Amino acid sequence: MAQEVDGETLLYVEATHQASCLNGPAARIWALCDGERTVEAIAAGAEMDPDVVQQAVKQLGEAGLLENAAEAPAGVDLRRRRMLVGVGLAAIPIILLVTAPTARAATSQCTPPGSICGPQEPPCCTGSTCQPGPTGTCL
Amino acid sequence: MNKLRVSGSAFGVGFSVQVDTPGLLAEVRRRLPPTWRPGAGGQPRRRYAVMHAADGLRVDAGDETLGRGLSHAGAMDVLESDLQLFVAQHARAFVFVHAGVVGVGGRALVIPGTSGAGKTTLVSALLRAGAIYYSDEYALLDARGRVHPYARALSVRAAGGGSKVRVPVDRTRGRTGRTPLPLGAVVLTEYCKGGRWKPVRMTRGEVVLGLLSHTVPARERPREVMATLARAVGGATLGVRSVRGAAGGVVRALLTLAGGGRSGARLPLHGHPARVRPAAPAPGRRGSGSRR
Repeated sequence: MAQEVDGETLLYVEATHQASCLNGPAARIWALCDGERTVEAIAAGAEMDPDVVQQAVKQLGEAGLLENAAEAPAGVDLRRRRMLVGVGLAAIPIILLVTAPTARAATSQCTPPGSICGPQEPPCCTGSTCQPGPTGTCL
Repeated sequence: MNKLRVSGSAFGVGFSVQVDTPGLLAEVRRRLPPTWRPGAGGQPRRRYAVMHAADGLRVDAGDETLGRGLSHAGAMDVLESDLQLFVAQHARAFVFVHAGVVGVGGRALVIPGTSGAGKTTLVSALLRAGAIYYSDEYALLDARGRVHPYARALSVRAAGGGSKVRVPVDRTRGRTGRTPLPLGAVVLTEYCKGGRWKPVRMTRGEVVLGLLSHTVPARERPREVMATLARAVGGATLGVRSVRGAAGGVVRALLTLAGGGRSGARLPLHGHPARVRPAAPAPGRRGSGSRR
């Protein structure tokens, strides 16, 4: 699902519970990714440098926002990186990611002593450990 | 009527708590969610039992054991924490964000954070400076994105990090808010010994992600949650993040922030968020993927 806020695009992928925030340039690239266009065509459509688009597509793919993102080759061309030093921050695609928390993780980083612990619970608070048993307890 | 049980509902969510001594019942009543009403109404329901056992108190919810071998205070903490979370997860009228909230100049200052991040300490300091109390636990956002009070007694951790002590707000000479407020400012901060307050401004999208990270029903109702958060920050909301030292040292800055939420012109803000990942160029050109 997508939501626009003040020029940024917010996305939520229910399969992974990942939420993303794309700034304007990243959102433009994402909108042009239709499975048909090449990086060059997207760059032309977004009026952006193809290398910047290539990297943004890679990041969008890593963020799970593209269904069949091409694998980007390893390594970075420093010559091209230097060429982009003059590009303003506002023109660079930025993708922020967070994983939506479970209900318990939204409120607490640790499970207090005496409480039941396990793989679905946050780790025991400092000073206690998850004692094994039919159901573990932080002691 | 069972004299050792209390039944009721809060925010449309029902619950009952069975105990085995009258003394426990009085303690349980003090830990129920604010605005709870006695009665059997409210769906879904969760049934708790707080009972004495050989090794201390045991807290169950339905067939699930939440804690055992607990002290009285520990059992109350476990019960309260689970009941609050259950209500926050299932209440349909609001999106519950784990956060401290005060009102300043008719707008809400929201400080999201997990337990132990120092929300109550900061809220208490803000109340002493004249802010209006809304919550030290949850920001309740309605469908329009306005912030409602969840005004339970302040939960202050005892020295040494032990159990929490309840302090009624009026005992701190604080005032409690009654009406919903528009979201004025969101502050992502955490206490850090010797930490220096150096606020970095966040974009509205970042503010939404910051709130989402502490939203209880984020996974259960993502569509509604994202829409509500976006609506809440869509107005004049200002967001900053920074580590902080002692609460007293940042109160003035936070009050300025909340009061200046419309323009933010007076704020000494620094740089751009460090956690952004600007795309670096890479060689090679391949076909793009298609968006989800």
